Amino acid sequence: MTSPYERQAEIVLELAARRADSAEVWCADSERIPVRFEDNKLQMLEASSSTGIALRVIADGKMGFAASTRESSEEDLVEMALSTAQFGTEVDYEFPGPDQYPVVKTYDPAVARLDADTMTETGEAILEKILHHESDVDVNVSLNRGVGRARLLNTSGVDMTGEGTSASIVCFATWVEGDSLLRTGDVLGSQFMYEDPEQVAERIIEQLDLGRRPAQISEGKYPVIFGPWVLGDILRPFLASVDGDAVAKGFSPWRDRIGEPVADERVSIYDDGLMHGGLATAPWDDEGVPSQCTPLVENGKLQNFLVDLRNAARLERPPTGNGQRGGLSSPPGVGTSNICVKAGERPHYEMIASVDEGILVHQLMGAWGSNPYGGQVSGNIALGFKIENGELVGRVKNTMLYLNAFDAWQDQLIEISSDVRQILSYRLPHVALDGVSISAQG
Amino acid sequence: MDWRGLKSHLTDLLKKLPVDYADVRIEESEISSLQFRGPEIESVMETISFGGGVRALSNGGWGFASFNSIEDLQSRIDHACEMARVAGERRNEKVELAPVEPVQDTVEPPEGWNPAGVSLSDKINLFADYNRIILNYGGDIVSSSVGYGDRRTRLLFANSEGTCVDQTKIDLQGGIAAIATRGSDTQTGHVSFGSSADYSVTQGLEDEVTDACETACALLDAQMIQGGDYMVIASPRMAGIFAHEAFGHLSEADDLMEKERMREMMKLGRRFGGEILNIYDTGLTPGARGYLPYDDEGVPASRADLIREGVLVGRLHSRRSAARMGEEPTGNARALSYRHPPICRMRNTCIGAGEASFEDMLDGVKKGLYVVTPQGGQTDDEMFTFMAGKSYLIEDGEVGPMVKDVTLTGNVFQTLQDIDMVGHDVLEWESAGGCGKGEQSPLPTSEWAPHIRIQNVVVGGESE
Repeated sequence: MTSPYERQAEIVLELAARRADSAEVWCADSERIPVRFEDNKLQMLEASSSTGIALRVIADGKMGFAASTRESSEEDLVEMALSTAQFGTEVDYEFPGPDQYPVVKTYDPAVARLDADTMTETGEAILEKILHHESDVDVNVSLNRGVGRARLLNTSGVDMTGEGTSASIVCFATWVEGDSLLRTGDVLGSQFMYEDPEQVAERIIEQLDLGRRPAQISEGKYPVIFGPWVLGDILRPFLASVDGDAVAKGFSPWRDRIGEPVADERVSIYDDGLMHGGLATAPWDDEGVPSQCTPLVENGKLQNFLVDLRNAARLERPPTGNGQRGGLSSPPGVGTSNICVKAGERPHYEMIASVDEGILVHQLMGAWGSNPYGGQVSGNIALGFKIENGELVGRVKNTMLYLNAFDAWQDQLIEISSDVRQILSYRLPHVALDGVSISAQG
Repeated sequence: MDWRGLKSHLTDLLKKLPVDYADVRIEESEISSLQFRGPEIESVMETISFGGGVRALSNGGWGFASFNSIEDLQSRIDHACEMARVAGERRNEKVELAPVEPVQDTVEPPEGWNPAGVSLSDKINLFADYNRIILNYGGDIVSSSVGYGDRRTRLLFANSEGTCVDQTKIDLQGGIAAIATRGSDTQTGHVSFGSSADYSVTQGLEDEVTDACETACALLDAQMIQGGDYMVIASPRMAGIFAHEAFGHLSEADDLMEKERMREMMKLGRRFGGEILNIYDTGLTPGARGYLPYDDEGVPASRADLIREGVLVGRLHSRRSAARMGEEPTGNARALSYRHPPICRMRNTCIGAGEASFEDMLDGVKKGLYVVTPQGGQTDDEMFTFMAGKSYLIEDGEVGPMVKDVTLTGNVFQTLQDIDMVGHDVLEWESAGGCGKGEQSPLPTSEWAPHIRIQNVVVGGESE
């Protein structure tokens, strides 16, 4: 795969270098072929190819940015970037030069070889398995295969090209009875080929079986076990607080707390840019800084903030390889790579067996909207199961969950599971927290 | 780009394809944006986005291909048709699209102060002034976030039935946040605006920015909400988000059309609320971010009444869902960009005016909550949540102290029944951001509503 922009990249860099103090060109191509099943039937085959070029310049000490997916002239792009640099942020760092980069596998030929026919068959197998067990549900499956390539060049001498693959399966099943809806879902996603796609169907069947049975819980405080899929909501205040930008601006509650305990000593959390198969894994970040595994919280103590080049300079800390682009048309900013939580002692089913009365939560609705810097996590339990005497008995509904993540990780941790699940750019266990507030419509 | 040549070329290409139906969208956008975070300008950028998407239907199977290079047009059309053929062989059923009269039209943006005529330096100076108001406010204000972006899009749509619509669109939006921190607590106050026509919505926001600073500081002192049941009065902005989350998404017919039990649940004629309740979705409000003269299937805009006097009377259709359900298309098929096929989406979702005043609503409320500024929402069709920034307790019919961390939740069916008052004060409010569905986010939408009162809403928070 070659893009018209790869040939343009060097010309753009050379033109920009003549008129600016320094410059950086990023060009990316990708080809995705989603296969979509909707309502138990094959709906659409897709092919999406995208390509484009982004330019950053530092001129008179100020940063400018321009990007294009139109085949326009090199001069125009340089002109656009320079015009924004007049007003841009003042910069006291330089684009990085060549460095030692970790060797990490990001490309799986088996994924690159995946075609629409094979994915259609996989989707049909998942559908059949679910419908065989649960004939009265509507199932959507979307399978996707991506192959991408990005080249980064700058005037400090960097010229690197990286290639990556991604394979994912997203499946949702809807069951309706009267005015009651049950939505269960599961996701597989990695840079590498999935081995057992039908596990998606198995997990959905398990949730559908349990979800059809209603269970009641009254208002109060309970032990709650959070599944890997929902744990991101409970980690959100932590990740917002280690964001170097929030630290530099003075509104991260952890801005002065490096080395201090912020969680139970069994809690260790990492930003791992090298996680095997993780969707964010790469040898370098989107600014050309080597990727690494950064401890955020280790044995309960705050270890590091995540920074891009700009915030590394502001905070006078070494860069952590967290300069991420949201896409071709966004300049790099601080972003997490792959987030991992260290596993605990016992498998999650033993944790469930130890709970007398509580809830296992798989999905929260709206918890992303709470104020992260205050630690509040508040959401509707979109999918959660009541635990009674160590057994899952049925689904709880019309129920709100509330906790303060800063307090909960520190003082309310019961335990962390020994089993972890890798999903997209996360590798997460089940986590049990005590004294979680539950409000229900009474 | 030679758009005129492209139009006739496309029309020719689409005439003789070996499929039941095909359409092409070619889109070119010029985007500029700026962002202040604290005293520094964090980014200023200009981007150009060009690309196209082809959709083809054969024997009930769809193919969709997107691309960036116009040179790939022919090969991507062929590819989309081939994918449709393969999908159709597996699906093998007749799929109808609701008939729409073919149309040739050219559409210009509504009248207004076009942001394309404003220099980048003027835009930066304006928002730098707002940023300065926040940073000079003092007190507990530690930082700011001030963002603005505009986009001018030329969008060409053509299909195999002879429709060809050439639209030029504007979308502009911005958000201004004041950030207050004391100890380990951080709170924000927001100003948000948007338009599909007029840069003047960015002007004269000084007082609102000062209010946002006051709100952020006041929230630091506010008490946390106690979890439980409340009688809720929603401000027009919150009521708009409520209509969008609680009923708009449920009305998107592509999610209903194949699900028998969902269709039963959403049968036209079903009573959803009291006679005071009217909800509709319209593409006919120029200047609103949800203004949509033609949707992404070339269907002209209309107003779709969803609930009239409490009774379900309509829904949001694509041509496919309209045909499947035997109803009329409403012009609600929208795609985020050329990268995506159109799906059923909202435009400007409104609650019709009632007769109540704010004082009527307060009357007799013993323990209640007045939720004022929205911070987002989500739904799974049956349950919804929405989050409020600024909220006040209501005690014995009077607005009382400010409270924070308010997340409301409810069951759609129950909550619509529980709306017992609708205000006369519809606010034509536009905001930044947009709506998300599947992978397509954020899509510009609008929500216009008056104050509403809801009997019984669960609010999350610390239990006793």
